[in-house]
Amino acid sequence: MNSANLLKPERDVLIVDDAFDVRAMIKAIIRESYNFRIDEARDQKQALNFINKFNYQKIFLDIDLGKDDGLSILGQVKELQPKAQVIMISAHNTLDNVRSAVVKGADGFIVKPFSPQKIISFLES
Amino acid sequence: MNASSNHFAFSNSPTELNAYFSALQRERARPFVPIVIACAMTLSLIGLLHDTLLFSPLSEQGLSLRLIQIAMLACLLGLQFFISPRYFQLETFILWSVIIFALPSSVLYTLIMDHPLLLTLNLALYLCAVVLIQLTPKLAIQAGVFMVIIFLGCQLMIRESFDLWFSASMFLVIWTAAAITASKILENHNRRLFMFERQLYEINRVAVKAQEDESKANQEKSRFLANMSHEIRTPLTAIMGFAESIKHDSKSYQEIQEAVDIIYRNGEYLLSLIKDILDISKVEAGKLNIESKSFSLFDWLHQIIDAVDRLAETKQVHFDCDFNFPLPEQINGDPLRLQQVLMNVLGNAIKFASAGKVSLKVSASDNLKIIVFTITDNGIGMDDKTLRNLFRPFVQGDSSTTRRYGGTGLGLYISYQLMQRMGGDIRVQSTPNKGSEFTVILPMILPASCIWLDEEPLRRINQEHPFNQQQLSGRVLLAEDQPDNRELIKHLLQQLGVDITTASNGEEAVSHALQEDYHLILMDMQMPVLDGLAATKLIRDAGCKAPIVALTANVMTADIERYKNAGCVEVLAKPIQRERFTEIIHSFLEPQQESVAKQNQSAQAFSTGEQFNNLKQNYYETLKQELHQLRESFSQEQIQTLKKVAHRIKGSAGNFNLSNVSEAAADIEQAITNLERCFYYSMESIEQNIQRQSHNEQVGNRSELS
Repeated sequence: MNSANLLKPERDVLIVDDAFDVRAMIKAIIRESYNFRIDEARDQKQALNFINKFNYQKIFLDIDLGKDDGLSILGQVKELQPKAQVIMISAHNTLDNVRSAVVKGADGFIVKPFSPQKIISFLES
Repeated sequence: MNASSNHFAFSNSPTELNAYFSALQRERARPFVPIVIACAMTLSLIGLLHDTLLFSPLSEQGLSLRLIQIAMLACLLGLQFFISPRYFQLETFILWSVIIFALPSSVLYTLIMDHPLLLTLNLALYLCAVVLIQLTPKLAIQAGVFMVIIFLGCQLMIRESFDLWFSASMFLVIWTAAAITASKILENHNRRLFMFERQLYEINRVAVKAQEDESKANQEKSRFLANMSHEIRTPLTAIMGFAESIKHDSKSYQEIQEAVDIIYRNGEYLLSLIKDILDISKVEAGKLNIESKSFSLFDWLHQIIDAVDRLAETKQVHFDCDFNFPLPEQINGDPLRLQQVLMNVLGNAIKFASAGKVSLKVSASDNLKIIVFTITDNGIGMDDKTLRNLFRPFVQGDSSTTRRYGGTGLGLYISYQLMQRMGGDIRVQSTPNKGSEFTVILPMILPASCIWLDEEPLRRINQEHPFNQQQLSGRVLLAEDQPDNRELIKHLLQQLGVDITTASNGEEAVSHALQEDYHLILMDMQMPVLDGLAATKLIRDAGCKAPIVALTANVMTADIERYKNAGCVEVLAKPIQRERFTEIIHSFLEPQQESVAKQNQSAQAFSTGEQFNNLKQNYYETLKQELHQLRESFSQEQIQTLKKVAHRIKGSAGNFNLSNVSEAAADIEQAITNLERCFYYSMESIEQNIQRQSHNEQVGNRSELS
């Protein structure tokens, strides 16, 4: 698995969210300060496609993906992208979501509506 | 009074119902009693007459006695028919009739040693009467007791017939007792039935009313939602419309600026609307917490008066206030909510007073239990229809009023609900075109040792001048559940000029921390819902790297270790010491840049004080010159210069509380913009039309030729 990872081309950021506007906004925020290579995924299938093809440094993963659930693929994502920082995004700020995300291995958690600084702060680390 | 269901309309208390039931029974009895007694007496009379006529071998004495008796009975009979029992209390009447009837009869009969048949007849009549007087068992007992005494007394005089008399008396007693018991039971049953009937009626009535109330409430809710939806869509239309217009058409920078202004303004309005709606839903769900703390009446009033003064000045309304002493120095209540109510009413008064006068009067009621704020204005006033709907949501005069005067239409509704929750009230009186008078009433809860003031105390020299402290910049999140502590720390931070967000429990703190990027988080370690320690851990786990400073009263080494392990970078001990607090804040936040410092100075702090007044004087001079230039450029038809100057005035007048001037200048600028736009569009239209016309003519010529 690891060797397979090394052979994958490098990209910088993957944004997984079913809402076009949210993806566009995050992309715009990032582009304003960094010249990163950004990919966007709409649902679980697309996200897994990207993850199997490329290596990412940061992955922004929405919990509410319509019929899919970000939390359920979190494990897979961490496995396929051991070097990436996975940051969950959610419109619901129930503490249970935060806890279960952390338990499943998320590196960060952002609550909508978030300020642009929040995204930037995760990119700086 | 008849026993119809109309009379179910009054009170439900058991004593009253019992009394009503007894009265009901008496009334039912009234028609019957005289008839019964009359019959009894008639029969006795007949018996006596019969006796007199049949049993002729009687002594003279016996005959005269008998005649006396007959005469008495005849009189009583007459009484029955001619003197209606209406004039006497029914019970007394029956009692005396029975006694008067029974007493002489028995005595006489005993003396005459009459034929037992006649006595039996009398007795039988008495017994029937007793049964019929089941309507008032108490009376039957009284009558029966009397009867028994009389008979027993009589038989003592006639020893020979002792047995007969004795057994007759016993029989009498037993019969009376049986009749009374039967009647009591019957009455009880009747009474219970009556009560049940009443209860059933009451339950029915309540259920029907509840249903009506509910359907009315549902209607109100639907109407409210419909109104709310409309109120929210209106600014949204403006926002989306102007945003779209910027996107599609090519616009000048000026137009874009204006469109953005409109979008922002509508956004602000939407925000205040949503805040109001949230307040309403909290109030209706009973989740609105009204605090009760002791605060200085005059400090609080001075704050409000200052704010109203500023507002009144911008609208060119004259504002004065009057205090009726004695007034307490401190009162208990919720200063924030009370301020919300007063500012709402005062704001309305100023809004609707056109160029008039608004006055505030503060007084205590005579019994010193209520404090009354009276707000009077000489504005447009309200008619009855408006007054009726005044404290209902989204009814603000009419919708054109809302558009002209601004506001959400929810303020008075919220204020009314708030005052009700505080145990007070808001009342209003108004005359169209003359003005209105609002009265805000609050029950006065005074602290244990209350000082009463006879005159207005000097204004407290408030906080230290913010300019004395070095201003810092940054965003700080404060999580503290105790409201007084929270206010104190917020106040300290505000003096340093930082941007503060507050949370009152750990869950809120985590929420905020995951939404915004904070430069510093102050976390109280003991909080409800989720305590500081757990919140800190969660925030760190969620990848937020903002420095977290623990606020705690536990400062033993073990505790400090725990907090640091959870992710706190520093621990600040409670009670808060000013120097240490400032030291810590300074170590995490950076000083403000010069320009930022100037911008962040709050308008309030800046707009009072000498410095500001001097600047204002200077500005008046500048304004004079600007106005001169306005007139010049208009008379010389220099449109662009006119627009530029108007734009300058628009931008500057507002800073010196001359917002009406600013608005007027904006109107000039807008008019020129409209003229320009109109010119360009019309020119285009003219040119197109000329082209089309000439093309048509050419084609027409060609067709003519060919």
